[in-house]
Amino acid sequence: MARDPDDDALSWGDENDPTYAAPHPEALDEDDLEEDIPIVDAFSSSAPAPPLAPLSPHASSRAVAVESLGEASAQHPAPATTPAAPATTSVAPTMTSAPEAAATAPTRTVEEEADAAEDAAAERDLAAAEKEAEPLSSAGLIAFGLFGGIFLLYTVGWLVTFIRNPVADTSLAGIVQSAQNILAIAAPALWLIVTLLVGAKRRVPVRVVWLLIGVVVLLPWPFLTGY
Amino acid sequence: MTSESAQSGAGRPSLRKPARPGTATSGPTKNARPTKRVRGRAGWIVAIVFAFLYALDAFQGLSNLIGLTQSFASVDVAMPGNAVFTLVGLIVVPILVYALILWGTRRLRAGSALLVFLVGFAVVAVITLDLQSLYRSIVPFVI
Repeated sequence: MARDPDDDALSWGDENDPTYAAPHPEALDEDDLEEDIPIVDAFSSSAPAPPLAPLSPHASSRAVAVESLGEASAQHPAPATTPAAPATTSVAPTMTSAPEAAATAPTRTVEEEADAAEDAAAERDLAAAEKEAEPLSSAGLIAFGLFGGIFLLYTVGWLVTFIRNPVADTSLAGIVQSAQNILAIAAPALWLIVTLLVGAKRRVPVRVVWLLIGVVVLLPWPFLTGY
Repeated sequence: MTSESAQSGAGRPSLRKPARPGTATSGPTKNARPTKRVRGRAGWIVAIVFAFLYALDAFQGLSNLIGLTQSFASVDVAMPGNAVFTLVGLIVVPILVYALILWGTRRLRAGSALLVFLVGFAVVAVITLDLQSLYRSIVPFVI
């Protein structure tokens, strides 16, 4: 009766184990196989296959088919093609390995391209966000403050004009006239705010040009002329 | 195989939704490149509401032109040319400013367009008061 190695305290389960018994070659896994051990295809009709298969798939299939044909013609001359079918199927896995490798390569490049595009888009968004979040330059800030002061003076001018020319008419024309007077008082502030709001994503010179247009358009002419 | 391909070829158009005539060209173009923003429904509502307000200004200018022309005609006095120019300006300015803003806000959102229309309305008020002041400086008497 053989002694069970698991009972032994010195049982490590490998070759250093004094009680190690090498397993049967058929029970070996693929990891246990060494490179110099030839791989035998059990389904091939030519069981003792050469260890190195020829590179050309046509040549290898033709050679295997010729061998099987030779064996088949010795036994049954008429059905010559039937033994060739399993031979070609046995070669097929070695043939598909190359196209699979070729097919995975473009997939990787597509993935890499997608990753690169995502990285570029993220960097672009980050740059845009940084550009939006960057504070105004000192010159821009001073210019906007200057225009704010001018528009404040304009507001005072339109307010004085409104006080000088009171509208007591209750007809439609009188209501419109009153509304226009009030809108004229609010116009400079509205122009400044809307220019800075709507043109927030524009460059500072563009905003300054729009504020300059406002300075020209919103001039309180009635206040200056006295009429 | 031929029957399969014919069947799939026959079944493909049925899966696709028939495009409306107005949106036939906008679909592929939107996918191909980022299209420019156009005025939406809210933008058009804002534009139409402000059209009435600007029209009110223009109507006031028109009533001024007709009323003052009749007043000058009633006393047999010829109206100065500059005064006529200012009264015509009271009609033209609201229409001109509205047209400019309608063109300028074609790519803006409805909220931004509303703000710009509001500023334009205020600008029309300012120019109207300017022109009225100019008219008073030309015709310093009340008929």
